[in-house]
Amino acid sequence: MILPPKSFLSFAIVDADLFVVRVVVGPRAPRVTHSQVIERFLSLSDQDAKVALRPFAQTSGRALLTAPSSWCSVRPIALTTRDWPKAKAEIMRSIDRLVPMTPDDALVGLVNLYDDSLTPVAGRLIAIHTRSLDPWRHAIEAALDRPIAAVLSPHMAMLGLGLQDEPHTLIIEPDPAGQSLQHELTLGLPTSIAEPPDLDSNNTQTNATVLPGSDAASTVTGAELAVASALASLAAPNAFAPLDGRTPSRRIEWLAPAAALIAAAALFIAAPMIFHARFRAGIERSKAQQSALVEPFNTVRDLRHNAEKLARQLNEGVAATTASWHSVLPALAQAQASLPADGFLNRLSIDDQSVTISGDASDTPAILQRLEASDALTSARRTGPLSPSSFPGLDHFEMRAARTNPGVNK
Amino acid sequence: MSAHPTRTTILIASVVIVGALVLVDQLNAKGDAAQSTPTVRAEYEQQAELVARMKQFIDSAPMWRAADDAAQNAWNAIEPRLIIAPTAQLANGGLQQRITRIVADLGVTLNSSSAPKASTPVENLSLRVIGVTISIETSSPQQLYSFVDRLENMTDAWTHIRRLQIMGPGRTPSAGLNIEIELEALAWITQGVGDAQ
Repeated sequence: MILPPKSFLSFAIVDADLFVVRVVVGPRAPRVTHSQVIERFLSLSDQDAKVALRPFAQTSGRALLTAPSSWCSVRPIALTTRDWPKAKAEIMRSIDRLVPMTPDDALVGLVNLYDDSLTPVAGRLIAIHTRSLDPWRHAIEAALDRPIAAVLSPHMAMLGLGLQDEPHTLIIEPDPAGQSLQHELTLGLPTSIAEPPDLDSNNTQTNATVLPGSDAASTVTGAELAVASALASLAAPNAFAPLDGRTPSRRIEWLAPAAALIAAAALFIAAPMIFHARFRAGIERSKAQQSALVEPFNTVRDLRHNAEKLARQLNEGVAATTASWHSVLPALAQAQASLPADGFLNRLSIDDQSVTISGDASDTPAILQRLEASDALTSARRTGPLSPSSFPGLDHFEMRAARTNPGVNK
Repeated sequence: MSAHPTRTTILIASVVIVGALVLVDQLNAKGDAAQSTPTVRAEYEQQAELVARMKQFIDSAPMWRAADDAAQNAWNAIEPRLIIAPTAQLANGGLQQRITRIVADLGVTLNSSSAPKASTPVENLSLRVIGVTISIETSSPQQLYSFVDRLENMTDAWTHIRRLQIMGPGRTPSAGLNIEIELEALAWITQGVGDAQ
């Protein structure tokens, strides 16, 4: 996974044609967002070259150029990319002793060779004539109006063919003169480069891939080679030093994970403070909400207070007090009506519970019956003994009856 | 070994270390939360709960408004029948004025009126039960009934006859009836308590 996504604009020279691809490498698989073949590129005028490369002119990212294998001279050398930065200047001064090129006409790069444990043990020097490359390079840079960041050979580009899962791969480099060369990759890293074909080998388990310049079915196209060139530094970092320019710094590759680690550590250290601060901020927000709610809260509180006060006045005050308030009129009228026509009322007293009457009458049982029969009174009884009245034929009585309060409950 | 596995190993180790630190931190945080001292989280939760309860109370406004309206309507129906006065003594005076009007209307003889009384049925309410004992003389039971009816059904006072005592007439109906009535009424005192409507 590559974050942030990287863009590459990759060119591959195959014969007289120029293959151009735009590759974006991000969190998911690399994507080729645009691809084009410009035939006989060097025969185009400057204006036509500009028009042909216009779709790529606004593309950001590194511009790479892959030279054809037929331009390359390959020599074994006891160096790896680890020592290459220090040794390159000395090698360039004595390049004419290694390859038939002068220092001012040579571009030199290096590809590591790996042993069985995939440790770099030696290298292969790759050199091309500057004069072969420059017409292409200048034409491309003029059309794009930007420089080529790195120049690669097919030996370097083949490391980006996506063969990292293959135990062993044979890369055939066809030669128009008929002398093909072969390169071997183990898990995508080179174990031999530019060796003559092993005609005795009959290893059917080895996959064979052919670099451009052949009609074989497994031949890599120019576009595929350009894509591989773009991905080589990511698939096999530090496995090669380009002919010109440099591969992305390892420090830069480490930048994102290191920054993520530092951010994680910072978050870890700051977590208690963030935790505390978030709750503090939440408390402040909550207090602000509370302040905004005070006025409507007080309004409802006053409303409730008023309603409860009125309810208390009504229920505990008025209703409870007047619950036992009944009209005396029915009990008064019915007590008086219970007396016979020949009787006399001496005293009548009514309170909330009972009626007490005393007087003189001839038929006192009838009085009791009438009191009992009335709907305002009940439990009528004598409260004293009957005694002869001072009026002949009459008895003096005193009676009491309980009120039933059937009257209107006000 | 190429750079990729090395880098992957270092990154995985770093992630494991950070993960372990986070785990330890989480365990410590749980330990802190379990302590009895109130944490900022507890303070936040208390504050949030307070706000939630305030909102809930504010949301109940329609219910309280309806209850207040209903209580106010009920009170408005009762209020005209209360004797409203600044003090219980003045309310008692108002009750005696109403009695005097009825006495005059019915031609009843008012013999005496005792010292007024007042009681507080419920603490902290301005409601009072005021009372007076009157002594009258009527010429007939019908006049008595009319008098009692007028006393019990005043439109501007909620009254109650607590006790009624008739003396006579015995064998001399023409002598009339001597009656003692203990009358109560509801009063609303506007001074002092501060609960006046």
